[in-house]
Formats: sequence, structure tokens, C-alpha cells
Amino acid sequence: MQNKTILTTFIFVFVAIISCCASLTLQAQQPTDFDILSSFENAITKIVDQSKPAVVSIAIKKMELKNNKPTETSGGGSGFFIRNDGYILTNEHVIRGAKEITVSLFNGSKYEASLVGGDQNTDIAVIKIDGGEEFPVLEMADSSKVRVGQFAIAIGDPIGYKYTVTAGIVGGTDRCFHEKNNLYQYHRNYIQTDAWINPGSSGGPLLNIQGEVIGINALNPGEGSTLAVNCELAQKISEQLMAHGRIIRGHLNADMQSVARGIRIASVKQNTSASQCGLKRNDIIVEFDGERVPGVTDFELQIMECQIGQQYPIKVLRQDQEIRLDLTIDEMPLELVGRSVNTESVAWKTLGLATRMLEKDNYQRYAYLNAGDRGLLVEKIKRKSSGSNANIQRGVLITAINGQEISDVQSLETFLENNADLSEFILHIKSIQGTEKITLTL
Amino acid sequence: MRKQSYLICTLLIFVIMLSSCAFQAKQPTSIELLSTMENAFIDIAAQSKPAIVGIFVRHSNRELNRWGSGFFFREDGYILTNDHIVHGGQRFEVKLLDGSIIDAKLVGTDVNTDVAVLKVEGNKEYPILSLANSEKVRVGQFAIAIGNPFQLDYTVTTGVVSGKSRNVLGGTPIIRYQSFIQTDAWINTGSSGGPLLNIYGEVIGINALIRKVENTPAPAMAGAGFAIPSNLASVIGDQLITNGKIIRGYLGISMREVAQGIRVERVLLGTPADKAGLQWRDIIYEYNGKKVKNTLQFQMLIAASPVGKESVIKVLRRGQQRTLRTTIVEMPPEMAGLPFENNSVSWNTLGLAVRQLEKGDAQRYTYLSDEDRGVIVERVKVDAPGFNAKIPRGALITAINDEQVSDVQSLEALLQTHKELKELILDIKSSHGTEKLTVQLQK
Repeated sequence: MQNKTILTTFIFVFVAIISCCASLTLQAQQPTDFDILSSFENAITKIVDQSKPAVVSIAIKKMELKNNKPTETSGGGSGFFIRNDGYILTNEHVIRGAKEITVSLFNGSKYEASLVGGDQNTDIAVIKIDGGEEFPVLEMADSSKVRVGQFAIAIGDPIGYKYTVTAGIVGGTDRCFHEKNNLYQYHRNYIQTDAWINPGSSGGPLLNIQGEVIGINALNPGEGSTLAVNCELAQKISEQLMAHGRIIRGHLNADMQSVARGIRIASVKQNTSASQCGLKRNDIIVEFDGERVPGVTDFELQIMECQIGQQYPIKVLRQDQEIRLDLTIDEMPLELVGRSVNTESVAWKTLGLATRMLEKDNYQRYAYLNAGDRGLLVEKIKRKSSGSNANIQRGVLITAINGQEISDVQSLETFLENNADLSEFILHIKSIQGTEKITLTL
Repeated sequence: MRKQSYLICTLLIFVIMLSSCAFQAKQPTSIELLSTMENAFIDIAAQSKPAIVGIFVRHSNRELNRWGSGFFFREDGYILTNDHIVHGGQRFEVKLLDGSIIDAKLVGTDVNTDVAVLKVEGNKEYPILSLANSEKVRVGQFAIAIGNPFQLDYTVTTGVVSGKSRNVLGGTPIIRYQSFIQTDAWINTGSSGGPLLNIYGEVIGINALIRKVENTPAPAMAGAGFAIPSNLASVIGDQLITNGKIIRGYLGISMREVAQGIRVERVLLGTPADKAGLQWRDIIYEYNGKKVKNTLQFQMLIAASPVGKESVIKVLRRGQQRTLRTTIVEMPPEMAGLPFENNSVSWNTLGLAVRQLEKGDAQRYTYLSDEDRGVIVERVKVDAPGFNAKIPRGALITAINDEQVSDVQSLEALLQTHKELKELILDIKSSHGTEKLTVQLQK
């Protein structure tokens, strides 16, 4: 009987606890549809409020030819801080050709910015302002985690409408888009969204609901879709630009296509390292640097990362015979990276050479250059010029002319102008073959 | 013993039930959350529809007939819509959710804010939308646009608030009070006058215009719609119901926003600003004891100041503080968007309304003397040749193509004879001194 009483008490206590719990759950009631929508809305406004201070407006001034007269024109776009010491990520096309870059911050303050580096192939550029203060930054998202259908919030600065916020979803993650030009276009992984982007929003961030950058809004090909440069690519390129000021890419001067056994060479350009190493049409590359070759797009990416002038062992199938060759990687020609020859320069007119300065740090990308090397890299040689007659190759470093050291383009120009009466020049060059002196006869 | 086991059994069942309950009440899945969000949108649209109407405006010229949207904001049948929908209309019809069409009358319309009020007759109580406090609108919050274009059924679009306090229209003849809410919810022409709602179904704005951004390959509007903020619409709507029109104070300057306040860009002659002694480049920092913050706030302060009473304006002139006084007048009808009729040749060709030089003008206009002969420009039509040639109001026209202008008749006669010319050269005397201005005639 006593046992029973204990049990009844126990049950009573239990029921009491349960009813208590039940009433609690009743009180905590299900949130209504509106509560949920409202909390979702709060999440978006919070992301916007947090991110805005890191977004900047960029205005540029540049010289353009209008009716054959050089005229000052203006342009601009958006960007955002990626480092608190003032580094700003934007699109290359926003700052292309700028002679003056002005950055306006969310708080209204304005700064003159300097160009750290721009890469036309990925449409990524980095500029920097010096404020002696810490700037708010946006974090990059993990690009592999971007999913089609997830929310996307774009913040930009279209003409006249400061800090316009538009929202939508990610419509695609690996979109290709090729503009019609000669440029080597790197884009195979644009992020597509239906969030609206207007001119001037270019360079602004596309954010996920964590407020992290999933892309850099770059293009509006129409039909309500926007393409943003993938955050992973943007991060990689911006880091290289901040470190070296320039992206130096390797290139194999051959047309290639993927086949079952490897990569078939459709044609080889003459007088390039590809032809000189003995690579021939219809060869199938099966191994590169000791590893099986991937598909042609990934292979191109692999080559871009290679050191310039470095010899890489390759295994090739030629008429079903295995051959081993040593392939030297060239630098990507300047047309493909969106640069052109300055045909007005004295060096081009007299020697037939287009050159650019070797910036410090960039020696690392060249197998034949060292830390102390200074000079001009030959980017292009004019046909039937003294340069081509002397058999100067693309990629060689000119360190001196007639005994005088050359470190930048201007010093070569000045030397040539001052010695216009000379008909012979002795160039000191450094190449894969080592250091040598070459005589150029005009 | 049996009873005991029975009890234990019940207890067990109870515990199981409870735990299963607790399990069900667990975190909802992401799909469920999204579905509730979606339901919320559907509910907002469904709840708001009855208060939203289609508006059909008949003109005497049938080609000008147009339609738009509007919504009840007072139960006794008052409807808020856009001025540009009802402007110049003769008869107004309103289409309700149930498809019935009823006549409405125009209570009042204000071109300066693009707000108009219509009223449907009958003693029925109509479903209304309440107005939100548009000051509290946050960028990034949801925005739901609902329109009821007359022929189509209700159109619902959603997006977020993209920006606030947008100034969109430049260079219009009318003084515009602009503080638009920008949204990426699609607004079509027929949705004009319809509400832009928050997630509580309250009106944050009246959808007013879309803007075409040039050089976009995208279709016309490129994702930017603009709505008149509800606070402005509310004030104007109430005034239109009370007075049938908006009486605004007028100062007579063109201005630009600067850090310290408002910089005077131009002073129109004969206006309160002129009489107060305001000068080009003065910076107005205080008006009737209130600090001047931005263009819209200052415009609203002037508009709201009582006509005929003295106002105190504090300015910075070359760094010196000065206090000026003037009596605010009612905004001239053409500024308030009311038509100005003039059939003279000078108005039709140059866009200039002129008058005879009068006695006392030499005292009124510092740049004139008693010997001067010519006509005084009283009014300049915006975007007309005279406006484009920057002929200021109050200027004296002394000659056209080197032929003397002595009175209004001689000006009219000269213009008539030179009608075929592409440009005219006018001799002008104004506060800038004497100058020759070339006027390109529009063909």
C-alpha cells in the first residue's frame, strides 16, 4: 500500500512537471510567418549595415582620344577594402588607363589612391590609399561552398545612387563569358546572380548571408543577370598583385585540344620555345613534369603557373612512339594580357624592341634571373628590324647598352635619343643561355 | 499490482507522447522556414489587395487617356496616387478588387511631390492600407510593390530597399521635393501610384517612377524603381483633403548643398530672396532658428513657412555671419506646376515673357539707368532657347541682331521677321553687365 502511495505521488509529480513543460512550450509559441520573415529581413539589413563602411566609390580621370585630340574623361566604379591598411579590391576595367584615382569612403572622406596592380585577364585590380588608420574590411567566402540558389546581396555605387543595395540569388557558379577580343580570358568560373547591377556598381562586392564576399560584380550581360568574378580567383590574383604588382603567366605557343590519351597539339607556332624543343603537330602530350596531363583547360592553368624559361620534361606520343622532350615555357605574349606595343617609342622605331621594366620580386618568375638583376625584359621584336636580325629572343633581359646600365624604359629611351648618330649598339643581355653581348647594327 | 502496472503503462505512454511532441516542436527545417517566409509574402499580398485600386483617367483628348494604380488610405474613400497619372484628366474611374468600376472625383493634386488624392463617392467603408513611418525604413529591408494596372490583374513584385533619400529628377521647371526610396522590386508603368509595402503590409512609399540607366544592355529600367516616401505622401495627402491644394512659401533662389548648409547659386530678381539681399555664394546655415541640413529639408522649411510673414535667414558671406530678413510669398503658379499661358511670339520662339520698361525699374534693378531702353524679361520658360542661352529673369533686352528694341511691339515685330533664322544675337543688360548672347532657335 505504501509502495502504491509512493508511486501515485511519483506519478502526480511527474504529471505536474509535464503540464508545466507543456504550458512552457505553449508560452514559447511557434513564431508566426511574419516573425520569421522579419528576422530574415533583419539579417539582411544587418549585413548591409555591417558591410557598407568597407565599400568605397572610385572615381578616375584618364586621357582619351576624342576626335584625335587627347581629352580628359572621367569614369569610375566601386570597390572594397580587403586589408585594413588600405588595400582596395576592384575591377581592372574600373581603373584602366587612369591617371588619377580618387576613392570616397562611406563616411564621405576622400583619398587619392595609387595603383598597386591590375590584371586584365581576370578583370581584377588592387589600389591602395594611405590614411594612417585602420579601415573596415570584407572577408572572402569559401568559393567551393557557394551554392546555386543561395542568397546574394550586391552593394555598389552606380552613377548618382550612392550605396545601392540589391538582392537576389546565385543563379550559377561556373559561368563562362568571353568578350570579343584577343585577350587571354581566364574566366571559367563567374558567379551569376539575378541581383541587379548597374554601371558604376562594377567592382563592388556580392555578399552571402554571412556578409562574406562571394564575388566581385563585374559584368551585366543583360537579361537580368550579373556576372561576378569568383572570390577565390579574386583573392589569389589580388594577393599576387599586392606581392608583385603584376601577374606573370607562362604560355605554351601551341594550339591544343583534349583527346582520350592526353593533349593533342593542333599546331605549333614557329620560332618559339615550343617549336625549338621539337614539339610537332599531332603530337600527344601524355605527361608533363612527371605527371599525367589533365584536360586542356586545367593544363593551360598549370602552364600559367610554370616558371618562365624553365625546362620541363614531357612525354609525347608521336605515331604511337613515346618520345621524351624538354619543353621550355615562354611568358604569355603581351597581346594576350591586354597590353600593346608603344609604337612611338625610340627603342621600337630604331632597334625594333618593345620592352618593360623588370620590377623587383618579379625575377622569381623567371628561371634565368636572380634577385640582383635589373634591366628591361624584351616583350616583342619587330620583324625585319635590327633586333630580329641580331636574333634577340622574347623574354631576354637587357641589362646595359654600350656599357651603360639600364634599369627602366625611360633610361633606354634617353640613351637612344642622345646617341641617335650611332649605327651600332652593344647590348648586354641575360637569357636562358646565360649572359652575353650582342651587337645590333642599324 | 495490476493497477500499478496499468499506471506505469499510462505513464510510459505519456512520456513517449511527450517526447515525440518535443521532437516535433524541434527546430524547423530550412525548407519550412523558407515556406513560412513565402507564406508571409503571400499573406501580405492577399491582405493588401482589397485596398489597392486601378485608376483610369479620361482626357478630353482620348489619346491622352491613361491608367495607373492607387490605394485607399482613409476608410471614407480617399485614394492616394500620383499626380502624373491624374494630371489634366477630366473624368476618373476606379476599379476595385471585385471588378466593379466606380466614379471618383479629384480632391487635389500636387505636381511638386507627384502626390494626388481622389475620392470615391458612397458611404461605404473601404479597406485601407496604413502608412508606415518612412523615416524608419532601412536599406536592405524587404519591399513589396503592388500595382493594379487597369487591364491587367494585380501585379506583385518583391525586392529590397536599395537606397533612401534619392534625388532623381534634375532640371525640371517645377520645384521638386524629392527624397525617393529606391528599390530593386520591379515597377512597371501601370504600377505607378501603387503602394510599396513593408513586410507588415504598411505603405512605405508610393511607386512613382522608374529610371532608365543609359548604356545598359539590360532592359529599360535596370532594376531601379523609386517611390515617394510615405511621410511626405501623408502630409501632402492630408493637406490636399483639407485645402484642395498645397500653399507653399517661396524664396526665389537656386541652390546647392555644401558642407555648412545651402549655397546660393542664383537669386531671382524681385523675389523675397532678392529683397532680403541674398547674394550669389552666400551660404545659408540657419532659417527661422532652424539649422539648415540639406536641400530637401531647406526646401520643406521654406515651403512650410507661412506666406506673408517675416522669415529670418542667417548666412555666411565671405566667412562673415549675417542676418537677413524677408517676407515669404506664395510660390508662383508656374513653379507649382500650374500652366502659364502666353501667346506672344517671344514666348513661343524664345520662351521669354517680356514687359515694357517701367518707371522705377532703374531704382529696382541696380544695373539699369534712366537712359536705358528695351524690354524686361519677366519669365523664362525652362528648356526653351532663352533658357538655354542663360538669359536671366529681370534682364533688359536692348537689341536683336543689332537692331534696336525699344518696346514690346518692336521686339515682337523683329522676332516675326527673323523667324527663319537659326540663331539670334541678343544684347542683354543684367547684373553680369552688358553682353551679347547667342540664342539657338529650336526648329
